[in-house]
Amino acid sequence: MSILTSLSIAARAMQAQQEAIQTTSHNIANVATPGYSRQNALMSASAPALEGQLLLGNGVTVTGVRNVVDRFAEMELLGRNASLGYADARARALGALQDAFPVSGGIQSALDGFFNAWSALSNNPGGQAERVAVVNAANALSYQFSQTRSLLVDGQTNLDKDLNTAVGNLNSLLTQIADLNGQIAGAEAGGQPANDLRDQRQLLLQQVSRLTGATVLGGDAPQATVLVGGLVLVSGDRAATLDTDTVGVSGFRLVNYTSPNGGLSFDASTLFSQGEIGGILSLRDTEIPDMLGRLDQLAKTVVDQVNTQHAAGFDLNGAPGGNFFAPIGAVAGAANAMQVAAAVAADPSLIAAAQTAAGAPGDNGNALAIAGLQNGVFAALGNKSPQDYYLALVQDVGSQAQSAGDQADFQQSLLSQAQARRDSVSGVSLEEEMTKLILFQRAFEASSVLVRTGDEMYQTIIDMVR
Amino acid sequence: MRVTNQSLSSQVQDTLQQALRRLTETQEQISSGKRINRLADDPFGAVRSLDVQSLAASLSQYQKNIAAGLPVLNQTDNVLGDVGDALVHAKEIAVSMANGAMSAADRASAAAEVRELSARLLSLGNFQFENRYLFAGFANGAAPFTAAVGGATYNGDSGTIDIQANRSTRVTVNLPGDSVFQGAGVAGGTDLFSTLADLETALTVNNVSGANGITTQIGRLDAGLDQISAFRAQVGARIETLNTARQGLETMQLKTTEMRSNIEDVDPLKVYSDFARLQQAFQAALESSARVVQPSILDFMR
Repeated sequence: MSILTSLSIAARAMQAQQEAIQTTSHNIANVATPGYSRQNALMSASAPALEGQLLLGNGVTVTGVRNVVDRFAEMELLGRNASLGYADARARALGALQDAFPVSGGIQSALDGFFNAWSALSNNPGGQAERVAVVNAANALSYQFSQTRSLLVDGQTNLDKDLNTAVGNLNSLLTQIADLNGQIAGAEAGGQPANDLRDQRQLLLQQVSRLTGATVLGGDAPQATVLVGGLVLVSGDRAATLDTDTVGVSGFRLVNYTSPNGGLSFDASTLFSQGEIGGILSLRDTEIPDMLGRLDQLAKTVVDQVNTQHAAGFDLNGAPGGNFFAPIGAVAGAANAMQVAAAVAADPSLIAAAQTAAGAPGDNGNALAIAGLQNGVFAALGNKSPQDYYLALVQDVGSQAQSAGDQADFQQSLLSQAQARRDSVSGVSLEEEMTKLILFQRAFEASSVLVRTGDEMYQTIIDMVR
Repeated sequence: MRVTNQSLSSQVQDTLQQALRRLTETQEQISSGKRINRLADDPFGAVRSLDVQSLAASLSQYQKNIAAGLPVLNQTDNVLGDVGDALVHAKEIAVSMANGAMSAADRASAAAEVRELSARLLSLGNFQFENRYLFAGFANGAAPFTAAVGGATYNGDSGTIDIQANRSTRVTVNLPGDSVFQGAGVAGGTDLFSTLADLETALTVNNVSGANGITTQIGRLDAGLDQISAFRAQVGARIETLNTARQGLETMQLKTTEMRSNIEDVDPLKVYSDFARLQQAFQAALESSARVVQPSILDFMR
């Protein structure tokens, strides 16, 4: 009987080695597949058979195929993706926004140009050319203000478009994860792990985490539950739906949430504070509005102060000065509304350069006073001069852009390290696989020799009888 | 730590990417010559640079202001010199005509000379520079003096035209004509026009030492000369102030250029050596990567 047993051991061994070789081939084939974790054919000695007094070995069986995964490394990778998504979104947007505040020229030099034009007018208060130059410098200043403002608003609009794209991606990822949840639950009903499907899902979860900083519950359970700020994004084989079709009071898109079972629907914008979407929302709704507010405040203060001082003087005809700039009511949007008063633009002799009502062409008192506003400090600007107020804004934007860039680099390197840790456990090493391949191949060859040996033994027995 | 093919290749990519990025950044600095090309390169430096740029713009405006004011003051000084000459000439005439040897006819003919001096003084009072009347106050678009019986009428005002010579200093660049020529607001001031008119009258009527006679006018001419010298001294002091301010501005202007360059410009020595070092590092990274990635167990299995 034992020859037959040997033959069956040999046959099962060849079967097992083939399965191991197939697993190795699968690993080699997926050496470059992102998110793939290497698989091992789990071989174990078959239960021994009792023959008489002897407990004889009964060969090998493959009891399963497992992928090698470090749950902790996978978790870390999710977290790193969330931080990188947030930092990257900010670095990209702020990198573009900083160009609204050039390192030479821009509002700063337009402010200088404006006040220096008043100073030049004071040298020849009766001069038509000097008066026209003041109007031109004021136009240049208002152009710079509206240009800077529109660059910031462009930044907001671009972020709004990015949000739309990101939420679209997120929806498709969530649907895929929910589908995979269903497939994995089905495939694992028999007790064997669905390694490849789990790898795919893990990769998708990384992308969701990069977008939202989502956390994943469920551990090793077949179905992963995905949460963001207490919102359930995926539960079982159902995904929540997000849309950006509604526009809020700020004129930008809201993130609307509809729960996986469709029962709940509301504006969840404030719950997304992490990942790429969190980065986009914080810039679009907090930081850029702050920059715009400060820019508007500066524009309005310049307009108000110049108008007040202008009204205290007298024009070339001896009439009291009117508004130099068209007056601005609200602070919001002021940087876009700065404009030389139409009457003054049409007739620069209405510029009130004089401090007396005589209409004397040599009177430059008010021109000097307006030029002096350059160095004045104003309560509306937090007791700063226009220049210092502007420079503080530039400094803040620059620091934000700088630290966002540094953060993105830092998070990228953390992610690379986490990825390396994950790969060191789960990644495919060709050297390793080739070595295993040789082992399995040799084992297969040896098993085939076993079959031949068994065959020869039978032959020997048959020859004995003849 | 277990090393896998994917982690090896991504690490090689990361390393090369980083080396290449640093190389590009340094290259940008070399080609622009600037350390700060964007705000985020150095926000603090960029803001300081903007501050210095603004200072430089103000300095150049102050220099323009001074360049506009100085010629006015210099011209005023010249005109006051001419006024002084005219007064000296009138005094010479008066002194020689006060001599008892002179006849009434001599004095009558001298009166004509004084009349000319009066006209000359009037035209000096109405002196125009760059189409603006020097002695009209704010009302410098029209002649400040018109001749009148026994002197002249002042049509200007007492406005003082200031220029901003630097951030904290304003310098007045005009003298109101009524003060200079008519002694308005000057303690013991003398009206030069009426003095010459009175001298002319005294000569015409041959009044040497009577009331309003030639002797009296000599005294008034002396007072007038003192008055003009006092104003000239004032103008001289203002010219001095502007010259000092201008020198200060020029020094500051040079400093701002230097400051801006210190903030913004790359240190060529450092940046070139950085570039060479980074280039070497990049080369080394390329070569070592090639050697790490290339060999495979497959090479040894044939």
